[in-house]
Amino acid sequence: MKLFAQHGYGPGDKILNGFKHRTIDGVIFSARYEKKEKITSDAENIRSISSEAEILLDPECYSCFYAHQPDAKLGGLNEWSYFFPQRRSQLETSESVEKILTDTFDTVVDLPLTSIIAPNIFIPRSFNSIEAVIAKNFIRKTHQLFEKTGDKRNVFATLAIGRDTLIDQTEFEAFLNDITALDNPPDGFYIIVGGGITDDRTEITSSEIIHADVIAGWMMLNYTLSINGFKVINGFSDILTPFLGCAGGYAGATGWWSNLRMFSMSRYINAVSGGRLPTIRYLSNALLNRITHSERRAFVKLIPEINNGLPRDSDYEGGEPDRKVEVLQFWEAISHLNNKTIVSDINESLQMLEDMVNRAERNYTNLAGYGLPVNREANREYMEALMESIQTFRRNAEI
Amino acid sequence: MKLKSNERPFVILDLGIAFKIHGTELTRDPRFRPGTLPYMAPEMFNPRFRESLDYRSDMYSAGITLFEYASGVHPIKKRDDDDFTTMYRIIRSKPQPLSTLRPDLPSDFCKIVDQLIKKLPALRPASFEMLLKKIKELS
Repeated sequence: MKLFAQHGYGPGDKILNGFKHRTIDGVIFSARYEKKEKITSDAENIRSISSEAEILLDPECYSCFYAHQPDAKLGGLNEWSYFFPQRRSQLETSESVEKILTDTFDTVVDLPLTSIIAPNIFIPRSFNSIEAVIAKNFIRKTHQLFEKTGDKRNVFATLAIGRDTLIDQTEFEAFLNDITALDNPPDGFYIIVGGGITDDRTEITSSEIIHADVIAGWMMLNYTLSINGFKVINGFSDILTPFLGCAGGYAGATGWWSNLRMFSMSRYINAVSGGRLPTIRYLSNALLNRITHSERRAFVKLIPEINNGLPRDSDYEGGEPDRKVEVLQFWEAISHLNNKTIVSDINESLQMLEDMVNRAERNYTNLAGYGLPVNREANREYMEALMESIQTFRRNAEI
Repeated sequence: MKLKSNERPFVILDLGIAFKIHGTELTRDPRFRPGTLPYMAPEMFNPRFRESLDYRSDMYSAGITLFEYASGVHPIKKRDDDDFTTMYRIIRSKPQPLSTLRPDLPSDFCKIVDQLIKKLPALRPASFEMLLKKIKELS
């Protein structure tokens, strides 16, 4: 499974360094933070390092309902010619949907992207909703309208959904049945799962995404779409990337800020924030979680496998590393988990995922035994949700 | 029915009953489920099946027929089951993989048959083109 950089505010050299150190295979640019005129030079710089790099652009049209809000935080989205504030009722007509798709394709088709991500809206609560009908209309028309540009690149329909949509199993299954039987389907899907109420510091591991039905549903989307011949790219998937890869996902993505590691629509609303920058962390594969530098130093003395034993560990040996290299360690750790757990046989992959979760649970128990209860309750719930999600997925996918 | 042609030696007739979703009084009767019970897809037992039924139900029926032909046993129905038990099994019971009954058959062929009889239509092949492509890849 491939790992992409989820682009956002303040990229600096992080993405180029990610390609240099071969910790990422591609990038999903954010239209909110990447100017159209800058993409060509950025893509050239990436290609000069990695000719195989996959370069995509998320048009982020799903934020269009927020553009009316006085406290909307849309960055440079308004500078893109396809982006306009929309009201839900306006998108109930096919003409409006077609216009957004056509305008977006006309804007991005000249950019040096390797594949195209189509626009769509966000489905917040249920697949049995007006938003879901509008979103399905976007998906249905994606390939049909992209063909008119004459471009031969792959086009990915966006499926941006709230975590609650994955909990109503009946409506979710009906939706799966619909999108796998489209007459003129896209080449793949770009899936984003929003995690409910969050703030700027919410990590995916302590968010509302960590729920057995939500993770199992996200895996089910990857599985169902991949066996039906679609490529699935998962945005903001972070530590769940190996789970989605085992289920058939083509790629996952994560970034340097916590709001690039987990998606929430609240990122488009101005929130009271500020204060200190987040503490530098280390992603330990043995805990499936991020820990602070001082925690790492203390834990490693008791449980050496808390260290991943990978090249980027050296950045942490001389003390707390520079913020710029933190994300390289995250990408390296997740790529390593992907390589360790994803094989062609899905049963074998799921077994390795279970082993990985069991190992993490054992390590949390051992740390507690040493008198170091790392957020014990939260992590117990986290581990339970991961384990249960694998079992739920097996059952729902009839494996 | 065996034909003379070597390319298509078998033709399967009558996988169930052809019917119009919005058709005659017979097929609109909510108590009437058009089909032969052991070969009917699970989604046909949903009271609102007329809203969502598609070609993947036929794929299911074809898969059950293939499974039975290949293994000699029906993957869902047991010998003395009454109709309600069969219906329950169609909706709930997971059939055993074909390869466990016929380990001598190519595993990819068994996987195709197993996929055809998945409970959720989305887990079956998305189209007949995809199914034919998979079958061609076997040879």
